[in-house]
Amino acid sequence: MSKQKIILFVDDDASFLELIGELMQQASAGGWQVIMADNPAKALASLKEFNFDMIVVDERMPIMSGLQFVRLARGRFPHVPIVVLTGYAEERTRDQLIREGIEVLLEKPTSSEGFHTLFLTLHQLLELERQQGFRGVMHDVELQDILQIECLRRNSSVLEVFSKSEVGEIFIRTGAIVHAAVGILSGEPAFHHLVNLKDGEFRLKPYQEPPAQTISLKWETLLMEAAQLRDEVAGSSTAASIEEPTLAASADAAFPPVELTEEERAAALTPRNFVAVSIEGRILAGSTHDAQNVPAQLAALLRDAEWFKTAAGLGALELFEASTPAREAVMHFQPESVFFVTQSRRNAA
Amino acid sequence: MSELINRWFGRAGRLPGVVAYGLRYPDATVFSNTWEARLSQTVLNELWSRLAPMAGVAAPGETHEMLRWTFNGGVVIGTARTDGPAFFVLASKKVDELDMTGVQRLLSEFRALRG
Repeated sequence: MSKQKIILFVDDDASFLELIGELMQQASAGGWQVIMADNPAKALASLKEFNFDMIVVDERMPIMSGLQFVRLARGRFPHVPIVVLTGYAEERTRDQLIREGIEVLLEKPTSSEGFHTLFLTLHQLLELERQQGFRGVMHDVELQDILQIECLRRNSSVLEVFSKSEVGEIFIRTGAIVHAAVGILSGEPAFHHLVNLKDGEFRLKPYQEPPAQTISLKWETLLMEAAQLRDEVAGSSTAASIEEPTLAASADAAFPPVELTEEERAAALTPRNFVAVSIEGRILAGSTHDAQNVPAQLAALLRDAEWFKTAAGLGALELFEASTPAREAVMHFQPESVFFVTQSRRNAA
Repeated sequence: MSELINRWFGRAGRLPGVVAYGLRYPDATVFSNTWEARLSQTVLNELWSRLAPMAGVAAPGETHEMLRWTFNGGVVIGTARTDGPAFFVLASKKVDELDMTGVQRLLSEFRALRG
């Protein structure tokens, strides 16, 4: 897991700030800490308090313009990327901003789609910054060598390993390999999978505490096992064509398919509750817990359904599906009857 | 009512295949947003008000994460928050016309907004 990024948004429109802060935090799934300042004074105070990864500032602000703020911020924090949001910057202002060394001049979003595009752009910029760190390609440097060096030096770091389709992490704490994770694998299976990837890249990142300690073997033993596994695969592939070890194969080994008994299979397929009700509220088939008078409610819905066709012009209501954390429910509407089935999530799975 | 939710609703941009958006609070306050001249605000407001109670019959007292009404001439996709407000998307029934990824994103945003 990478550390939380701290982003400063500066805009005199407080309602815009509140919305952008909410949506950016949401889109980053907690990966960003968004600090908001609705005037330059607050923004400058925040600059003293936080170590920002990026500053996003509105170009049009009263008292101090975006350009003036950029000058101040750039002077004090020359390495922090600055993005300026603008709806209608004049050519002259654009040139000035670019001369001040801002990273990007972006259109200020006005729609949900625009907010999403802005997030993706900012995220991409932050990724570019992050990639300044040490990185290597597995063709050029052996991943095992890096692990050995880190462990021998009793370093603490996180080795991020990524191929075309997978990203994994190996956590090293004061020279001991304590955790590895890739996809749904963790611990030793994840470690062996990562160190035996044939093509990919890796990046050494500052140490962060892993979510759990899943590896307790000594690093020497782990690397020896990894080498043996690699030799076995290489030997097999020269003797006969062998499939590359894949994440799916490793996952299959870690999570063998669950065998259901006939009874369990039947229970999983049987709806918990169903009822068919006529437009008059008469039960045509099935049964229901009548505490809430479900047949009468269904009949009322069926009668109301005519409105969708006539007044709303949507045509006949055919199906209604509802999903809650606990259950799934379906109503199938016919002209004179409605069929309602509900089943718990456990059975629906 | 939540000012933040209202602001978010007001800024929800048009997605391919989408005809209208609806917002309904537990106190029955409704808002509609459409780009189709043929659809009146009154009819849309009535539409959301008639759809919402169905969820209560299907799974009373629960949080309806995903709701879908299929009509002969269109589809309504919706979701409700744990604190009550519900968001609806009236869309074309043709799968290739509808930006379902965009709709899913809007539903997720709506559920996650602070109340």
